[in-house]
Amino acid sequence: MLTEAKKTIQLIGGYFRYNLAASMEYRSSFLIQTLGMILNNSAFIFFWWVLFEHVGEIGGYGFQEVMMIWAISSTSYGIAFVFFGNVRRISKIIVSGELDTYLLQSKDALINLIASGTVVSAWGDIFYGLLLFIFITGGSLVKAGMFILLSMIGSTFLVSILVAAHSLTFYFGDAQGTADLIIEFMVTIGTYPEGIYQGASRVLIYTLLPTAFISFVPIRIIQSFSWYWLGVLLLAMVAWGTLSYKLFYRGLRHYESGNLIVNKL
Amino acid sequence: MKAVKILDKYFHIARVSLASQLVYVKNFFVRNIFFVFIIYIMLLLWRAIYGSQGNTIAGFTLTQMIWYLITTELVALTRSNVFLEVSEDVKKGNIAYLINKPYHYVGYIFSNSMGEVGLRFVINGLTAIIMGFILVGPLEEFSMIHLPMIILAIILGICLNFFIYITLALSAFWFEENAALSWIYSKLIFMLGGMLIPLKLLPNWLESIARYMPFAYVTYGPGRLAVNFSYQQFFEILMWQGGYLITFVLLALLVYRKGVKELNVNGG
Repeated sequence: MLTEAKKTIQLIGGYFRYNLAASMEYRSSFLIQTLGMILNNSAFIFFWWVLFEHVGEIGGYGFQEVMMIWAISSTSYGIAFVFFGNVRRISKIIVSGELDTYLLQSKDALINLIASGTVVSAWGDIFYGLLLFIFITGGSLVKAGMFILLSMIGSTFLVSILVAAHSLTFYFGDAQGTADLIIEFMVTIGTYPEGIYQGASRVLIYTLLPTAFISFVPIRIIQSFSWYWLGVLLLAMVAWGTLSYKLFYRGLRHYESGNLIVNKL
Repeated sequence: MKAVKILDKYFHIARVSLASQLVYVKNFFVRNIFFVFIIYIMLLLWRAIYGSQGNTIAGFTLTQMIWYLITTELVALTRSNVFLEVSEDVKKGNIAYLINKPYHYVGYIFSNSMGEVGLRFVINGLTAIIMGFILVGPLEEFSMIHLPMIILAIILGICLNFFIYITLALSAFWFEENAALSWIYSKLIFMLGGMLIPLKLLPNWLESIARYMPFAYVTYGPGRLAVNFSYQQFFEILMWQGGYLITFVLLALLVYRKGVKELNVNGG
């Protein structure tokens, strides 16, 4: 069990080094995409600043709280796509028959598949989130440690949900559109104050579209630490991770090779 | 007579583009889910704000605010991927096969996009109306007589948006990595175009600058007109939209003419 976990971490680390080196080959493109994403996200600071000039509080959140959910959502999103960039295109890979390459290698097929790609602009999301966090909290070390740990948990949620959504391709045909919509929904929902979601929409963000565990619950933990919420968060993470892992491998049984010859260097 | 013949050519391109888009009409409805979703989130947000602030904010009631946002989102989302299309044509050299045809490249791209944009406008427009009625009900004091003028302002907003995008995309003649221009422009529409918040909510100094910028006439103008129509406002917005539209059409043609002179396509 431990050896397996060590091998998986080594595989993710290996892909990360390789992908980073590949991104750095086109340094100006890397810088433009990273800075562009930081600027892109900054536009939302403007939106919220203007709103809070007129309103004291929205759904129980002030300007600082909204910036905190932006910081943690952005960092979680960034970590997920820097380390597991291919998670966005699992359906495309399945439909085009490229999956064969990953199945033939002596590694965990799912981890091998999702870790082998990266999204360069996601670095911008990480830097943006970290800068925003430092700007809001003033850089307290304990809080920074919690922030990074909770962002990693958030990215595990994002990856698990995307794997589950893309696994539907095995059962019902191309689910790329559905998965793209789900990620858009999750990112959007998680960047508005929690208090605006009431009734059914509140149930939804804790269950089927568990955005609450990526932004609202982590912020609650950072602001006033609670073992209860940390426990709930970890439990939900394990449940979603297991569910998506099983859904992928069960679906894989339905997969038929596409006879596509691909070189994976 | 000659002008009719020339226009007929571009209408034909638009008809062909529309026919090919009709094959994928289901995809348009799927994409509409995001439009519905974002308006729903906006309703939740503004309902919470109005709940604590009172009946009007910046002169808008909640119903007006939601119809305003539906209109601005309708303009912003009713577009083709013209920026990417033109940039790729220039960068990959496809443009070499398009500039020697018996049409003007900018006119071709416009009419080709209009088939897709036209279909999207009808589908998004119907979605917008249904959504508005379900979420907040009809607008108070709305008169059907004003509808054609509001639709005209929306169409001019969509066209202005298109020509700003194409002007920026043609920068690919000089810059390989021009995607940042598209990002920056979309954020200017977002911040100074009143896409998510009416300009009246901006600080006074910024509002007075934003009112003279083209971005306000892409989204804010049609949105404002839809919820608070007056003939004086209509003519004022129409004048700004017309002026900026002519400016950006001429600018696109100028950038294209200069760019083609710089064009150097390798291989085939």
